[in-house]
Amino acid sequence: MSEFESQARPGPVHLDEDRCIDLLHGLLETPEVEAIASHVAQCVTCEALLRDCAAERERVRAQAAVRRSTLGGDGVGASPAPRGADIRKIHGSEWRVLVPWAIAASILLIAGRGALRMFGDSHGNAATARITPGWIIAPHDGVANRDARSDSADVLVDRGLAAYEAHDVESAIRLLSAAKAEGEMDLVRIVFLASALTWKGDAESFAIADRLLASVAIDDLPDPWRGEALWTRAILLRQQNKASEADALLRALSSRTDGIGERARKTLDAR
Amino acid sequence: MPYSESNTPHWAARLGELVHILQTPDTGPAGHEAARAESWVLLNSAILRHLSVRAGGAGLAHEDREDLAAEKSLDLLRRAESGAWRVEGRAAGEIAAFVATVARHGIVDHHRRSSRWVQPGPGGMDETPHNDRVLAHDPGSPLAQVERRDFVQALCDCAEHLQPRARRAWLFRVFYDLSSKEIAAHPEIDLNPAHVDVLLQRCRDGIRVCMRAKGYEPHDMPPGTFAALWKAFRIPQAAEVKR
Repeated sequence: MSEFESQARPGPVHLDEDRCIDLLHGLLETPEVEAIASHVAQCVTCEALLRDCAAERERVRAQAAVRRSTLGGDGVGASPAPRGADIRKIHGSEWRVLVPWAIAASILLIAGRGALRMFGDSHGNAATARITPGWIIAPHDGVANRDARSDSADVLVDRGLAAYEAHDVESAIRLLSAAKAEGEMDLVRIVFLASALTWKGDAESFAIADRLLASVAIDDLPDPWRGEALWTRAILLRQQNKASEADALLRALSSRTDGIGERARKTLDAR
Repeated sequence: MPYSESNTPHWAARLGELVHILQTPDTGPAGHEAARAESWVLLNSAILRHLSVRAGGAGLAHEDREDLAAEKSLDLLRRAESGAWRVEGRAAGEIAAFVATVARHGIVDHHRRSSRWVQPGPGGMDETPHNDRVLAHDPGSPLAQVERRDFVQALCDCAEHLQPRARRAWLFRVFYDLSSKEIAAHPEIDLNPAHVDVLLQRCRDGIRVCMRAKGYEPHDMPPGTFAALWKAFRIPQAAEVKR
C-alpha cells in the first residue's frame, strides 16, 4: 500500500479534478506528485482521469501556441495565450454552428498584447461634434497559419489586421476589403474594416462603413465586437447628423462596465 | 503531504496570484504575457473539467465544451485584465467556486443560444464526479501484473530511445489523441503538420521494431501504461520547469 493510500480512511483516496489540475500545472510538491504517480499506476479510474486532464491541458496549450520567438520560452509552463488563426485552424471543424464566436473572439482578443487596450486617444479628428474613433486591438505579430487548407483570404485578413494594428488605415482598408473570409470570421473582418473606414474619415468611407455595418446583425455579435461595432455605429450616426440616435446609442453603451461603457460615458459627459 | 488531505485547489490559489500580477501596473510586458499565458491554460483546464463532469455539460460535444471553455476563459481573462474581476481577499476555494459558476453559466448560455434547453442530469449540476465514478482498481492476478509491468517497462525502454521531441509527439498522439495539427502547434513541438506525420510514422516504426526485439507484438496498452510513461517522461519535465 502506498503512502498515499495509507491514510486513516476506509479505503484509498482517489485523484479528483482539482488535484489533477494542480498536478499537471506543477503546483504540487514532489512527494505528493510521487504519491499520485504511484497511485495512478495502480488505479485505472484515476489513470483515465489523469489522462483526460493531461490531454485537455496539452490541447489547450496547442491551441494557445505561438512561435517561440514571441516569448522565447519552451517549457511546460511557457505557452502563451492563443493567437488568431492557430485557434481557428486547429479547431478542425472550422466554424461550428453553436458557438463559433467563441473562437472568433479568441482570434482577435487574446492574440495581442494588452487585450483590453482597445482604443488609443491620440489619433483622428477630435472635433467636439464627433466621437473619436478607436483602434480595436488586433494580433500584434504574424499569425502562424498551420492549416494546409489555408488560402489567400486568410493571409489577406491577417495582413489587413496587421496593417490595422499598425494604424495603416489605407492598407488595412485595401487588404480587408480584398479579403473574403468565411462565416463569422468574415463578420470580424467587417467590424475591423468598418472601424478602419471611420478612421479614414471621409464621406465616402463613412458611407461604406455604414453599409457594411448594416449588413451585420450586430446584436448577434459577442462582446467586445458587438460593443465595438455599436461604437462605430454611433460615430456614423453622428456623421449623418443623427445626434439623437447617436446619443441614444451612447446612453445604451454607457451602462456597460467595460472600456466601451467608460468611453460612452465620457463622450456623453463632454457634451 | 498526502494530496488527499488538502481540499484547497492549488490551481485556484495560483490563479489568484496571476490575476493579481495581471492587475499590477508595475508588471513588465514579459511578466504580463507570461501571467496571461498561464492564466489562460489554468482557466481553460479548470473550466473544461467543470464542463466535462460537474456542470451538467457532459452531454455536450467535446468541441462544444472546448469552445465554451475558451469563451469563458477569454471573458474571465479580459475581466481580470480590466480589473473587473477582483480577487483580493478571496480564498482559493472562493475563486474555484467562482470559476465553477462561470462554467455553469456557460452551459446555460450555450443551451440558450442553441435554442434548446436541456435539463441537467438527475444528479443536478453540482454533482461530483466521484459519486458516480466507479472506483475500480485493477488488481489483476499476480501473473497478469507481472506481464503488465514487463510490457510497460519494455515500452518505456523503447520510448526512451526516441528523441525527446519525437517522444512527446508520439505521447500526444497515442495517449492524448491530439491531431497532427494540434501536435504541430504545440509549444513543445513547433513543427508543421506534415512533418509531424512523418515524425509519428518513424516513432511508430521505431517502437514496433523495438518492442518486437523484446518479444512483444503491438496490442492494446494495458492499464498502467499511460501512468508509467507519464511518470517517466512528463513528471521530470514538469519538475524542470517548476525549478
